[in-house]
Formats: sequence, C-alpha cells, structure tokens
Amino acid sequence: MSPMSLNRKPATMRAMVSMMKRQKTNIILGIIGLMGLSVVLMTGCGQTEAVEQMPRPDLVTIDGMTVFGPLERPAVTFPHDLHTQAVRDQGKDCGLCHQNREDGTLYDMFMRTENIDEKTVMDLYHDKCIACHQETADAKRPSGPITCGDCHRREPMYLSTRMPFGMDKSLHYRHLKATDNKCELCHHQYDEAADSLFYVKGAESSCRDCHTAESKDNQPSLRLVVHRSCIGCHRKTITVDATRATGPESCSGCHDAARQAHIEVVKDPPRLDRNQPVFVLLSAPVDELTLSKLPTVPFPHAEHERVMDNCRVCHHQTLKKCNDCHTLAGTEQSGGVTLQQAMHGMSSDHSCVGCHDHEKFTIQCAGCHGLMEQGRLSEHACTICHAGPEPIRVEAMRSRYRSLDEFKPAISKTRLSYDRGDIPDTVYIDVLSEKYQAAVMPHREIIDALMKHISESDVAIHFHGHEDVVCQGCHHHSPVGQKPPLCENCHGEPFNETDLFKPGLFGAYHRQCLGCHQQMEITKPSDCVGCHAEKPATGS
Amino acid sequence: MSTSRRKFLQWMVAAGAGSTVVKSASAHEHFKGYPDSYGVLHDTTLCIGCRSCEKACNEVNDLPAPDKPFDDTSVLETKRRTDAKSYTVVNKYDVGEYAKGPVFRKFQCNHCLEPACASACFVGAFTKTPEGAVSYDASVCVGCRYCIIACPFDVPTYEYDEALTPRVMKCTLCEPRLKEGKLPGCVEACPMEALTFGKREDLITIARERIRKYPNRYIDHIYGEHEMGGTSWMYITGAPFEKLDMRTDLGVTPAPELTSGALSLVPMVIGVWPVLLGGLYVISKRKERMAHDEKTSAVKEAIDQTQADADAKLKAAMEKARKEKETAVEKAVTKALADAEKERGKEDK
Repeated sequence: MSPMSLNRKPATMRAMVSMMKRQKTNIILGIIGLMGLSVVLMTGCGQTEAVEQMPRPDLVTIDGMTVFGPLERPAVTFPHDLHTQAVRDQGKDCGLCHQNREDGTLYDMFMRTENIDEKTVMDLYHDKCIACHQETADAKRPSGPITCGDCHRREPMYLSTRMPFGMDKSLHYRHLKATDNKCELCHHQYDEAADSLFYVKGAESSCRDCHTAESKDNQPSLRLVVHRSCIGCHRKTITVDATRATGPESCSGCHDAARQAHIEVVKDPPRLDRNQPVFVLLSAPVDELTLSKLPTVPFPHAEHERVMDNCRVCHHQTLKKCNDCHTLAGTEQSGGVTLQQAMHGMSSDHSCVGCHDHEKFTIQCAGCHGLMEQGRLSEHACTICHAGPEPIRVEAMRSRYRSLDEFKPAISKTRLSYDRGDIPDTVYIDVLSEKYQAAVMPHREIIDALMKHISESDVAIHFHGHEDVVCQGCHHHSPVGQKPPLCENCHGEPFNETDLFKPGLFGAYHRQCLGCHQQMEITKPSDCVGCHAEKPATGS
Repeated sequence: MSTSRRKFLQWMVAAGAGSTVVKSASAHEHFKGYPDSYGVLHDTTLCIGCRSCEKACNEVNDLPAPDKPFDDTSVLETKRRTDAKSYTVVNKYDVGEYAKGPVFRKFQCNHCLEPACASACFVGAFTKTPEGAVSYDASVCVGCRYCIIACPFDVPTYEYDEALTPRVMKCTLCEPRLKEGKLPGCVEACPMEALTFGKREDLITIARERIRKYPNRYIDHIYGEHEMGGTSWMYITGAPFEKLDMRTDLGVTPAPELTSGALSLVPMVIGVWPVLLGGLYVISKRKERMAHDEKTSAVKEAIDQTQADADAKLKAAMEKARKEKETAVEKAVTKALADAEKERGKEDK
C-alpha cells in the first residue's frame, strides 16, 4: 500500500462517518466514488501490481543522480541491450545517447559529459527518455514507458541474470595474438606530474592494481575503465574494418551465461612473458635473511602459472615479489600480514597453504583428506616445502637451481616403495561379524585407484612423495609402515568417557569406509549386503 | 456445626492471600539440567539413512511390525512423523549445495531438560528423570493429550486404535535398558555412530570438537544445547536447520517458564485450595474443640470449687457443732456438778 493511500484512509473513514447520516444511496455512491479515487491515485503513484520479473543479463541501474543526494523515487532498472537494438533498428548509433570522446570512445554518462546539477540532469533524463518513447510510440513501434511509475518501480520489471566476467589466461592470449603483442593498447602507468599515461615494457600489471571497485580522483573504477576500453576498442576495430572479428559491444556479449559458454578457449596458451622467474627460491627479504631460520622454499613459478587462471590468484595487489611487502614481521604496506601468514594462511585464497588445502576437497582427494582434521598441517609437512638451501646461503645459490627436481630425489612418486606382493590383495573384516558375514574389502584395488588419482596430479605427486603416506588415509594416527596396527588395537567399545573423541570399532569401520565413499561420490554399496552378505539362517 | 457466611468470607480472603504467595514463589529459575544426566548427539553428516535405528527401536520396545520392512529405504521418499507404532523415524532431505548427497535426520523425543509436555500435564504423568529421560506414567494419564499439543517438536502420539487403555506414545530414551547398563536400542544399532550416547556435557564437548575439527562440514551450532531451554537429544548438521525441517523459531526459553504464569493457577486450583480450605477447616475445628475443652474444664473446676467450698463449710459447721456440743456438754456437766453440790449441801444441813 502506498503512503498516499495510507494517508487517505482516515479521510475516507471520516467521510464515511459523516455520510452515514445521509441517505443509503448517497453512502453507497460515496464509497464507490472514494474507492474509484483511491484506485486512480494508486495507479497514478506508480504502484502497479507485482508481475513476474523477466530475466535479463543487460540491466543497468540508473543511479547517477545519487551524487546529488538520496533519490526521491526508486532507481530505474534499464535494459541496455534492448535500447541498443532499438536504436540500431532505427538506423541510429550510440551517439543518440552517449557523447563521443576525442579518442573515439564514448562517455558512459547519458547525453552529458559531467553531472552539472540535480535539476538539469533530472530534466535531461525525463525529457529525453519520455520524448523518445513518445516518438517511437507515435511511429507505431514498440516503445517504453512514459509515466513515472512505469520506470521508477519498486519491484523492477526485470531480474538481473548478469554473470561476472573477467579476462582469463586464454582470452588474454587471444587478445595478445589479435593485437600482435601490443601490450600498450591496454596496459599503462600513470605519470602524476604530467597527468598522463605512459607505458613501460615489462612492468605491466593487473588493471585492478590501480582501478579499484570505487572511482577516486582521476582514477576511474574498474567497472568504468573496462567498459570504456573494451567496448571502445571493439567498436573502433569494427569501424576500421567491418570484416574483422572482434569482441562484443553489448552487455550480453560478456555477461550472459549462455554466451560466455561459447567463448573460444585456448587450451594451455603460451606462457606470458613479463620477465618473471621460471623457478625461484622463496625466502625472507634480503635484509632479513640472517633472522630467517627455516630453509628456503624452492618454488616452480612457471608450473604454477600453467595451472592458474591469472597472476592475481597469488599476486593479489601488485605483481611485486611476495617479500617486497610481506616481511618477517609484516609492514604497513602488507597490512601487518607477515611473510609466514601470507604463505600459510589457511583461509586465504592467495596463500600457498590456503590454495593447496582447497585442492584437498576435490573428489579425487576428499576420500582421505575429507576425513582428516581440517585447518591444520602436520609438523612433518613443513619440510615438504621448506626443502631449499639455508636462508643465509640463498643469494649464492639462487642462480644455481633451475627446477624443483634438483631438490627432490628423482624417485618415482607414483608408486609405493613396497613390493606389490606385500600389499594384501583382499582383506576380510570379520572381527565384528555377527548378523552378517565378513566384509570383503578389495584392499589392493583401492590402493591402485588412489595411486592412480595421485599420479594424475602434479601437486598430489609432490605432496605424496613422502614415503607411503597414502596408506595413512585409512591407517591413520599410527606410524607409517608395512605392518600397520589393526583397527581394533585402538578402536574398542563405543562411547568411552575417558576417550571421548574416538569412535568405537563398529562406528570406526563404517565411518572410514562409507565416509570415503561419500566424499568420493562412490554410490556403492547401496545397502548392507553390498559389503557383507547376510549369514545363512541358523538351525535350517 | 454449620459454617457461617461470615466465616466463609474470611476463608476466601485468606485463600486470596495464599494464592499470591504461591505465584511469587513459582518465579522461574533457569534449570541447566541434572548434572551427569545422559543424552544422545545426532550427527546428521554421518547418518546414511539405513533405518537400523528404526528397526532396533521397534524391536526393543516391542512395537507392532511396520507395513514395509525396515530395510526398505523407499519409505524415505515421503516425509514421515512419529506415530503410536514408531517412536522414531528417519527422514531424507535434499539440502542443495550443503551436501554432496541427500541428508538424513533421525527424529524422536528430544527429552527436553524442562519438558513442555510435563508442564502441560496436570496429573504429572511426565517426569524428567535425573538420568535424562522424560518418562511417562500411563497409570495416571487421563488422556487429555495436552502433552501432544504442548510439545514444540510434535513428538508425542496417541494410541487412537486402543479403545480401553490408550496411552501417549513416545521415545523413552530406553530408560529400562539404561537401568540394565545397556545402550538405547537405536544408538547401539547405528553402524556409523551417527548417534553418540553419553553424558550431556560430554556430548557438547564432542560436538564442539567436531565442529572445530571440520569447520567446513558443520554449521557452527549445536541444536538442542539451548533450544527450548536445552534438550538431552542434540543435533549437529552440515545444512541450516530449517532445511532439515528443524524449528529455528523456538528460542532458548524453556516451555515451563513461558507457561508458568498461567499454569501456576492449575496447581493452585487442584492443590492449594483443598489444602488451604482443609487447613482452615482443621483450624476452625480445633478452635471449637478447644472452646469445648475449656468450658468442660471450667465447669469441672466450678464444680470442684463448689464441692471444696461445701466441704469446707460442712467442715466448719461440723467443727462449730462439735465445739458447740462440747461447750454444751461442758455446760451441762458443770451445771450438773453444781446441782449435785447444791444437793449435797442441802443434805449436809
């Protein structure tokens, strides 16, 4: 109900009370009249009934007026592509709504280059939008609303299905190829003194490093610059040579889920060259090397580039070296985040451990890792990464190493060190057998399957290189070895008050087997007899 | 003796004062459960929906055989609730992104620390035992079924089929088995240990530890730790509770606290009034008896006094008479002696 109709209520009631004294017909006529009036008022105020919202990827909320203060009416939700198409159908171009810059790109504001004052901007929208809609309607073409409430709707007519879009490695490579490696077409730096942009080869960075979510001073927001630059360039390309393939100019070209799926993907594009290292020894900053105790971390930079979508996965703010900001004690620049935290932050998407930890929950890994305690690394894990030379020797050693293999003995990590014959083929679990016969576990088959998964992932190979660590997925909390303790050596009766967190044997078996199956989305067994057959009825 | 109108009015005033005292005395104190009471922790992330618990419950409680066998998991396709023939049911839920597959939740009496059923029952058929169970005594039940309406978890059911001795039916926490040192039937049968039996305090510790160890797996909340003032049966889940049809609108206030204002009148009516009026009657009777006794003793005293007075008078009169007699005798003797002397003098002359 609109505030207007709420305000009218007491008036309606007062009117009704006074009319009660008159004739019956007058009362009825009066009520009908008031009802009619309120209906007119309500529709006039733009309170149309709720309609099903149409999904569109191209919605722009016209909220430019917020620079002058709070809006009087709901912001207009504007279907941009619908207008682009209509303009094109009328044989006109973007200039109908957007003014051109000298460089050929468009001003993103509607029919103006700056926000002059509230009244002017408001009138601009109202006059131009309504006039165009009226004209189009007069020409008997499909047109837009001309009354206030049809544009300024509290419940917009459309539902945004806009998908975020970014430049991945493949798209970046396609742009490089299309522009003959002219990085300077997009990448630049800002000269504050001259208030101009310039380009330095080899110092390219991510757009987001400067163009943040909000515009500040003469540093436009990321949203503004990417639309201006991307669409500007696409439009320019097509103006120069209409036959040349180029990127989208419309909203849906980038932000529609279906069209995103059709964007050509170059698999394993060549490595981007920005003078970054192929291989690096990660260490504390040079002046802190004497304070650093743990061995350095040999880090295959190029290998990580291969699997990452973009540099920002790790280099979250600049493309500088990690220890430029993250020192042993942290700096103002790093927001107090120390080198240790930056590398080991379990909940961070940018840290080594955070990213690797995330990998553990993929289906292939979750069978074992999903059942292990989360958010904690074993003390033995340190040396898997910290395997490089001592920090004090790092400067001398830096140029000597070229690959990770030099730090890892060249053993095959995809095979157990045991003889295959020493691994039990089938294990019969009958220790609890009562209603059912022994459970038959294809022990070697399970190990083979797990080893296969490991062999298919470089990161898994690296981290399972530790001797026979794979056995510990099931044979946990006990020393690694060829003869692990039996499950019943630790798991006994359930609900032991002196050992609260350890399940009983019955629970331990089922949790371990079924827990792994659930995590790895293995649908077998569907019922109890899938693992252990029922015992034949006794006495028959 | 008949009660006068005046006396009756006095009683009413006294009763009014009495009820005020009862109300203020019943102001609720938070009850954190009996120390060392037992409970069960249900971890829905471990439950595989095998219905072993339902089967075990049916067997240990001698409940009638179900229409479909317990190993038929097709019954999970429809949402079920407890009924007179099943103290517990397992339901299946699709929770979308919160789990890789369906999630199962076992459902039974939660054995509240301060049970709504017990607070609604005016014959006291429900008791929260120090061991943890909310037990039901069919022998005193009058079949009003207020408990069924009072339960925020929709647990108790009724034997509508039973014509003569219908009972309220609900999970007993296998109280009889616990007394024999056995586990509740469902807990013992659960292959995944998705049901953990233990002291309520320990269960909370276990639940917290699981949430700490697997932060990605659990919602950071133990359902039943505080809901409705706390329950002996608690839950941890990987999906928001409302996705598992668990009420999240219950708050942490125990039911009796919410109802104690209104329900305190019930014991007043059925408990305080007879006691008070009975007491007044006794007092009044006593007064009468005392007055009677007093009067009797006064009369007796009076009689005794009179008797004593009479005796004394008699004694005095007798004394006087004796003295008078003695005097008269003396006089007579003296006179006789004098007469004789005179006679003798005459003869001598």
